[in-house]
Amino acid sequence: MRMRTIEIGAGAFVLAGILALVFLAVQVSGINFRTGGTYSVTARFDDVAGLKRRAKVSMAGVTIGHVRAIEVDTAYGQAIVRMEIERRAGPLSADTGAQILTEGILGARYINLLPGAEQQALADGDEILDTQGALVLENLIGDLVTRLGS
Amino acid sequence: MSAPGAAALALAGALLLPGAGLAAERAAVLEASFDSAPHQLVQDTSRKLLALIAESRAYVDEDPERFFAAIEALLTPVVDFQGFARGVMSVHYRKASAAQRQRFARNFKAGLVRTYALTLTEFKDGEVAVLPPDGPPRNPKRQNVRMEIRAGAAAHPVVYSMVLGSDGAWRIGNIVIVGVNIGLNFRSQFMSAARDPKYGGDLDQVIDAWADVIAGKQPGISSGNSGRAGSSEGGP
Repeated sequence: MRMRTIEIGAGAFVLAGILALVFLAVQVSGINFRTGGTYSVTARFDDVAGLKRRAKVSMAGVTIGHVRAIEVDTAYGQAIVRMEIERRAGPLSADTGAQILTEGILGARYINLLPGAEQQALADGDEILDTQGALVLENLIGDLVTRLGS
Repeated sequence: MSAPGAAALALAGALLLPGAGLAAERAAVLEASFDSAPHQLVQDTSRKLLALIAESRAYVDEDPERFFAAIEALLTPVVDFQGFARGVMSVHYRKASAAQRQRFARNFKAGLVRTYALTLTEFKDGEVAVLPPDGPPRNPKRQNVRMEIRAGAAAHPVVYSMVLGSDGAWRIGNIVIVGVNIGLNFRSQFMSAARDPKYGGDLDQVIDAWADVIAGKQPGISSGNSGRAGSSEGGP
């Protein structure tokens, strides 16, 4: 009988360890299971430069969603970013602007939303029209160099 | 947008000033004909602008106001200043009074015309080419017109966001210079200024000081903290 208790205890301990690892992995990777209440909006950028899936979408520093998918439109040479916005964040005005910024010293890219003036709200599937892509340092330097050379 | 954004904006502005090596007035618009009304509008406006600059050389030093007035007269019908100003005020537009909105639209227009005109006077040598559309327009009410300013070996891309007004006329609603969205940068500058204790959170003061705000004369503003996680607030 006493052996059984030790076995169950050890099993429970291992199980708890595994659960803790799973929890850690989920937290670190940023997967969000609270799927109830998000809607998706898209935005086109000239350059997303290292923006990744599940990158955060924030407004005023508060995370209100994440990047769901990034595709490229070769006809226009633009990136199409689809993001999931949490409904509990409230409505976003139809002329909301989106810019790709860099976070912290590791330089992870994220999307910052700037609220607009419009009363009308963005609905599921709408597109954010005013965008500012990532500023790629190499492009800016390239511009500077060609300018010096001229 | 924060300090790097402001720096990029300044850089973008500087890039539009071609090298002053050749003083010969060889600025020209490369002609092409477009089916699309917005493209034609941008091309016509560019041509008129360059003609105006060439003409203004005779008097701009003695009478800059006349030059500003001429630029304003040229831009007023083709730029959606109302919509532009509205987008810059963004959330503050909703709570602003009609008088405040009008005052800001006026200040905004004056500021933009001045900055633009002063930049243009430096444009002596180079070519402006309106590029053909990448593909069929995706949105019946908005179109992007791409333009290149070629000075020497460098080509600086400029994108005009054209919007179709309710009167059926296309107007310039925003501009992206070398990848910097000017409308959005102004929007974050306005939002930073509205939060800045310098103006005491008073919309009227921000509106009146708008010229200083975009000129980055306030150290507290040029380092704007437009809602960035983990950014340190303000100065040292």
